Parts: sequence; structure tokens; C-alpha cells
Amino acid sequence: MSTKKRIIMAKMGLDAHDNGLRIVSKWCADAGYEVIYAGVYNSAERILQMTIEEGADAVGISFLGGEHLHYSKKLLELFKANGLESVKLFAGGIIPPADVVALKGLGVDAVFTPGSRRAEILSGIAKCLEAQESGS
Amino acid sequence: MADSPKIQFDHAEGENIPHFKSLSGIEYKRIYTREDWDKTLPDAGEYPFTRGIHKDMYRGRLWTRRQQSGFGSPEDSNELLKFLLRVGQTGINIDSDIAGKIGLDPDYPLAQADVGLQGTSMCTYEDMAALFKDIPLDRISSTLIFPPPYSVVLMGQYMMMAKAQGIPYENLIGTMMNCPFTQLVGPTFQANTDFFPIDLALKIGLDLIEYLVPIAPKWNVLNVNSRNIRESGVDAVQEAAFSLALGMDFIDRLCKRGMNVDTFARRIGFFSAVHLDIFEEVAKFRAMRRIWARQLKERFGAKNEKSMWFRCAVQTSSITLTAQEPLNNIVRAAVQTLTAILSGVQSVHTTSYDEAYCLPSEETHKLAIRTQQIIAYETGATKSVDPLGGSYLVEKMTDEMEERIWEMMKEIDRRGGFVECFKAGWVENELNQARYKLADQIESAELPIIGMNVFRDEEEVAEIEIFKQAPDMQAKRIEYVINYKKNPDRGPVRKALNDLAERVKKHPDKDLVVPILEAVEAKATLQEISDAMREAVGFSIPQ
Amino acid sequence: MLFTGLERGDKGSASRLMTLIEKEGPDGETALKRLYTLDSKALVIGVTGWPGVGKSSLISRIAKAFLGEGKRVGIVAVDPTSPFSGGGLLGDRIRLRDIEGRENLFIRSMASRGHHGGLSRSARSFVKVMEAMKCDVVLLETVGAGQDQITVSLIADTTIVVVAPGLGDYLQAIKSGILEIGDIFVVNKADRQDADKSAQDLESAMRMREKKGWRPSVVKTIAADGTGVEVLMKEIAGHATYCAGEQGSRARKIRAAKEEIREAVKSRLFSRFIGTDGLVDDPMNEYALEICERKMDPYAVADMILADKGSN
Repeated sequence: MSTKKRIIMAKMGLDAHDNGLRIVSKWCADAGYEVIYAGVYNSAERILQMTIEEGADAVGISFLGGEHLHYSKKLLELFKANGLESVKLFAGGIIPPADVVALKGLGVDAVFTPGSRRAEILSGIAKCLEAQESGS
Repeated sequence: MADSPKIQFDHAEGENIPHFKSLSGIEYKRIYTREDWDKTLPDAGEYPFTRGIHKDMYRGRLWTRRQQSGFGSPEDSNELLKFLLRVGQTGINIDSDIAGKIGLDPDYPLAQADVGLQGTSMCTYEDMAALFKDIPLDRISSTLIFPPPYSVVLMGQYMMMAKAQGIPYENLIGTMMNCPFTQLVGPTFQANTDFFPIDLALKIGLDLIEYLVPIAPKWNVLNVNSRNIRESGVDAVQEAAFSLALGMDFIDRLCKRGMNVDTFARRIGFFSAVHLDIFEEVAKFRAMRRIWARQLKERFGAKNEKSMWFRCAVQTSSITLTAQEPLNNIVRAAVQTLTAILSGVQSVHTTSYDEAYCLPSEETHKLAIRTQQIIAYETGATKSVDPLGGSYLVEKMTDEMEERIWEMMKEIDRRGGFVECFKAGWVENELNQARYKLADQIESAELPIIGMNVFRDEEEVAEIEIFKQAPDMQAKRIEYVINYKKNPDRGPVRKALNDLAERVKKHPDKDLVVPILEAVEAKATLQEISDAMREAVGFSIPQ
Repeated sequence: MLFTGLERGDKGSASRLMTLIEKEGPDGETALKRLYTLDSKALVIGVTGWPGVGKSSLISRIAKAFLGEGKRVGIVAVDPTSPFSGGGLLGDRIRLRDIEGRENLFIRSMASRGHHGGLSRSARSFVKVMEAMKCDVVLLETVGAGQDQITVSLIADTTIVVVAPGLGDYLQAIKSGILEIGDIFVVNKADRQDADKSAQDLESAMRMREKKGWRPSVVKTIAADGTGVEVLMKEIAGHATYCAGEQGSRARKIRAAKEEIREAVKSRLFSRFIGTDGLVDDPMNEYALEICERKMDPYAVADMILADKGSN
């Protein structure tokens, strides 16, 4: 059984600082995931369409300017409205500690802040996707 | 001897650093001697300006303390400007939010969540006037960070404001950055080409230079941002080579338009990063000064010495700052600021220690300014010109950096110049390779970062105050611009926009600055003007 | 149940079906078999060419043209898989941004797998799913090197080979035999200096070749601004008409079906004897060691595997 997991990696809104996004995308591809690289300037609706068409198991968004709460909330709402609750959502980037808690409260499955090591990020993602397999 | 209690001690025995290479891979020798370098150098202020572009450097006048600033509404940012000037900054650097930098108004759907977050939200003439309220434009120089074609709009608003204050254009001092490749995040393809066709943007930028040079002789018309290039992960050699090559590409194009290099070259500047490898950075700046001077003289035939000056503003690097143990960043920024001074730069922004968390607060901005003031007044680093000059290490490394940078510039030239390399995807490729390599170096701790990949204290929880904005800031800005555009007195706007669109469609090769300025004077907003041009060439932007 | 959604043109159902088939389990196979019973009325266009020739820009223009005619368009974008990690960085979609998101457009990215079945099986099945969800046109984009290019030419009704001047690859193309598979040749980036020469070289190379029935043409385009796309669309329409007629299309369909049978047999044999992911089987590692130490040859190993498993 081929169980390659598909992850969409994207930035939303106007911020185009994509260094972290590119690096983590490559780490994920090197780790065996199929990464659909969506680049920058994505709206929530565009991400939704992509998630549907690509049958993504997870979506990873990188943030920098402080827009993380707004967009995470919007995405999760769209996922819910379209029967995509099983899709995992990861957030990364400049996110203050209090907001990390808030994001998880909203339903974001994992948050990675600056200084997160590669092993930490990959195992965090793997854990979420395993949980997905077993239906949680 | 009985067993002593166990303590963590293993790192104290024979401790040394992992290797002796500079960040760009130059191997540091054990010690440098006269055998490594035994020449004489011209004085500071003398071609090729290795020791500095001015004879007296900081003895004559200290560098400008110019912190990039801006957030929320123009009124918020104006308050911040006044605060910064009060605590001792000596130059202004306006950072708009991203919407402003890519020609969008706050009400554009994709822009709404980003309004005012990374800089000042501004799109109307009134915004510009509010931002600079009470600021004497002819006494304090201002840097405005906008790429073309938006640089023309914001310049137009700035000049309207100068006029309203009764200040003639000849007295305007400052910089419009005006580079379409490096102003946003560095020269990555998608970032710089999704919101406006790149060739037209470049052309309009050149139009603006041609327009401003004769009427605002003290105003700087181009600033190549090598810091954004560097923050993508490339090393000092690539940073220098890419930015110098881009600068030369611009000069080439301006000369091809028939402009005399001595009329505009002195109005071109650079905005660079300062990194942590002290001596490599000092060598980098000295090498850049030499290469730039040589190119201006030999390749472009500049006659006036001022045309050959490599004028450089810097901001200390952010990529070196950590979220872990953020107070460590104060030390890093201080060392980098000192490095900038030892390198002989013209203005400095010291990055605040909360960089990995949020925009700087007033408190962290103030500390950054104090850092610069302490170095200026307390350390003696400013009491003699080019204090490191003649050091065997520094001079040898300057020579080496110059060689490596020049090799890379020749490669770029061979490929048709920087702009061609950008369009062909070569630059993007180089950036990607560099960023992955840097990430690997950080992962393996080949590049040690204290508190992050070495000496990491897992139990440490950073406790710093996060700068927060008013919760209704965005809604207010969006409402403001919606109402602004609904105003029924805007008849002249329609006409000006139509004229602009006609010109872009029918005569894009002619000057486009004047029709844009007419639209600015009619009080069209930033996006209205940008959209008129986009529609004229059938260019659609991301929704 | 997914098939009802599919017939309604529901993107979610189509996507889930593709994922199911990719998993290669029994449910996926049942679904795939069912797809084969459905009518395939879509025009399937394969677009192949080396990296950097501008395939994505061209596909974007072609798709836009069809969308403008009110057609429903599907795009299967194939990126290479890493042979080492098995993962892939699929970056085609981002190059189709300016058409992405439209109601009548469905874009699916896939990795050109390393394991057996590979490009052929998944790409073929994705194309079938798109046909079943009522796409009028399906564009299949691949990097195209060697076997993959041939596979594409068998799946597609019309194969477009894209070259660009100055990359030197049109000479490679002539050498690598892709002249055999192209129905339409495109010289993109035609504003470059040597574009005319590239076009002429292609034309003369083709004249020297025997070809019954459809005569491939060479079209010059500048995908960046749309130049030449109208001519290309006419050629595509021309080839579609030719295919609708009996002559060429039937022979190609028979060839394609034979290839599918061969693939199916190989796939069955492979999964029966080696497993779907033959890379990690323990006996495989031992056999490999024997070969490296010169104690056995691969054919002896194959015979052993077949004899061993065949008796089950």
C-alpha cells in the first residue's frame, strides 16, 4: 500500500518572506512526503481549492507579520464548512508564545517557531499524520 | 578521592570553536604578518576610497542614526517618528506595510489581514501628510522604501507635501529606494513579479530617476538593497557581487538613455546587511568601495569623484538573531553595529532584540539608538578614521574578498547582467542553494548560534513584552480608504487615471512619470493609479 | 458512491478517487477497473519538454483558451520524484497560478513515482478520472525524459513537444528520438535569436522522417505574451479532427491498449513476487549482497524468486 502523505506548503496574504517555507518544504520532500509547493500570496479560498483538488493530508502555512490568527481561523472555518476536518494544519514562523497557545486552541495541530530544529519539525509533522491514520 | 557531586562540566576542558572559516568560507590564518600584506593605501577620501569615502569620516560628522520605523496608521507612525527623533535618531526611514510596497489599498481583500502590520499603512496624499506632520523636510533626511512603479506615486505625494510646506524641490534631502528587485524580500521571482510586470516597473523606475535628477539635486534616486539579498541566506561574497552587479546594470541602462553618469551616480546608494563575522564584513565593505569606484571610473568614465563613492546605509542582520534567549540579540546587534562603524558606513539601523517576535516597541527602538550612541560617544571607535586600516588581516581579507566578488561579478556580466540573471531564474537558483546550505550549517551547528544550536537551555522560557497594535487599527484603515474612494468630488481622478492608462497603453516607451504625478495630484489612491497601469497592459494580480 | 459525485462533476469526489487509486489497495483497483468501463470523450493533450522551455506558461495559455471557449479543463502536472527519499517537491501548480481557482478548471499534481507502475499507471488513471468528471480537455504535463515521454505519447491523443532555442535541447531532441512521438512541435521563447533556426532544424529533421497520415507541424510561440498561441490552438483542433476520423487514432489506441496490457502484467508479476515496494524486502537485500560479492547473477536471483513464489 502506497501511503505517501501529501502536504501543501504555502504562505497566505501579502508577506513574501519565504525562506522558512522553502527550507521546510525541502526537508519534508527529503523525508519522503509529497509536497505541493504553493508559494506566496495565497488567499484562504485558494488554499481550500488546492486542498480539495490535491487531496492533501495536511497544510503547512508560514507566517511572519502577525496575521497568523486571522488566517488560521479562516482556513479552519473553510475546512469545516467543506468536510475537510481531517486535514491537518501546521503553522510556522514569527508567532509569539501566547499566540501559539491561541492557535492550538483554535484547532491548529502543530506550531513551529523560530529556532525549531529540523528533527523537531519532522517528528511533529509525522506525529500528526500518524494520528490522522488512526482516525484521530 | 571521593566522588565529587556531578555537575555539567564537559564543555570547559580544552574548549574551542568548530572551525576557522569565515561565513563565506575564507580560511582564517593562524596569524597575519607583513608577508601577507605590505602595501600602502591612499588616504580616506582619495580614490579608490578603500579607507572611506570622506577624508574625516566620523570625525567630521557621525553616521546617521536611521531606524526603519512604521506601523499601523500614519498618525501612529508619526508619533513613533517624533519619539525616535527625541531619543536621538538623526535620520528617518519610512517603512510602509506590504500593501503600500506592492500598490494595494487597505481594502483589497488579499491585503486586509496584513494592513499596518509590517509598516505604516499609507495610500493617499493625506496619509503622507499625516505621516510627516511637524517634520521639517529640508532639515531631516528621509528614506522612503518603495519599489517602482509605486515609488513614483509616493514620491509625488512627498513632493506635494513639500510644496505645501513651502520647501523647494532643490532642498529636499533623502532617498526613494526605487529598486524593483530587492525592496520586498530580496530578488525572488514570484515576490517581485506577481503584482506588476517587471520590465515596465523597471522602466518606470528609470523614468523617475531621469525626472528627479535635474529638479531635486540633493535627493537620492536609487538604493540597491543588498540586505534583503543577504537575509535570504547567501554569503558576503554573493551579497556584494549581486548588489554591485545590479547597481551597474542600472547605471548601464541610464547611460543608454543618454544620461551623463556624473549627473546621477552620486545619487545612487546601497542598503546592506552587517553580519557577525567582524573582519569579513569590514573587508566586504572596503572591497565594495574599491570595486564600485573602479567601475565608475574605468567602465563608465565618471569624472567627478563623488560619482565614484560607494555610499552605504546598513541594518544589522536579522537572520542572526534568535527567538531563544532574546536578550542575547542585544549583544549581537551591538557587535554588528560596531562592525558597521569600523567599516565606515554612512547610516545605521540597529535591529531590536525582539526581532524574532514582533515589530520593535518604543523601548527596544530606544535601546537600539542608545547602542549606536554608546559606540559613537563612549568607545573611541570614531576618534580616528579607518582604525583597522593597515591591519595585516583586514587588508589581506579585503584583497581576497575583492577577488572573489569580482569573479562573481564577471560571471554575472557574462550571463548578461543582473536583470537578465534574475529573469532567467539564475538568481533564484543561487538563492535557493545558499539558503539550503545555510540551513544545513545551522542544523549541524557548523554555524554555531548560542542558545539555539549550542548551549541551548531547553528550560528557558523567553519572557519579553510583545509589541501589540490597537485591535481596531485595520478596520479603521479599511473604512477610511473605502470612504475616501466613495467621495463624489473625485471627478478629476477619473480623467487623470484614464489619461495615464492611455499613455501606458499607447506610448509605454515615453515618460510615464508625469501622467502618474498628475493622477497623484488629482488625489487618486495608490491602488487606483497602480490598477490603471495594470489594466492598461492586461496584467492581473493575485486575488 | 464516489462515482455519483464524479458524474456530477464534483471536484471533491474526483480528488478522493485519485487518492484512492494512488494508494494501490484493493478498493483503488476496483475503482480503476470501473473507470475503464466508462466512455472517454475528452481530448487528452500531452505536453512534454525539458525544464526551462516554458511548458507551464504554454499550458496556462492553452488552458485559458479552452476555458474561454466554455470548456471544462483538467491538468495533471507531473514532477519528478526523488529517487532517494521517495518524496517529491511538486512545484508545477505554482506556475499555473494565473488560471488556478476557476470553477471549470481542475489541477492535480503528481510525483512520477519510483516504484513500479510509476508514471504510467497513476497518470493514466488520473486522466481517466478527469474524463469521468466531465472534463472536455485534459492536459498532461511532464518533464519528459526518455520513457516518460513515450508513456505520455501513449496516454495522450495529441502530444505536443516543446523546445526552446538556446538551450541546445532541440538537438538532443532529434537525437533522443522524440521526433517519433510529437504530433505538434512548439518552439517557445520565439523572441530569442536562434528561434527561427531551431524551427527550421526541426522542420528539416521531420521531412527526412517517414510519417503516414498526420504531418506534424512546427509552431513558434512566445508563451510569456501569448504570441503564436492562436496558431497552436488551430493545430490542436486540426489534430483533434484527424483523430476523430478513423485512420490514425485507431492504430494509436490499439498501441496504447497493448502497452496497458504489458504494464498490467508487469505490475501483477511485480506485486506478486516482489511486493509493491521492493526496496525494503529482506530477501532482496540478501540477494543484492550476493550479487555484489559476485556469488550470484541477477537472472539466477530472478529464477529463484519466481520458482519460490510461483509454487504458492
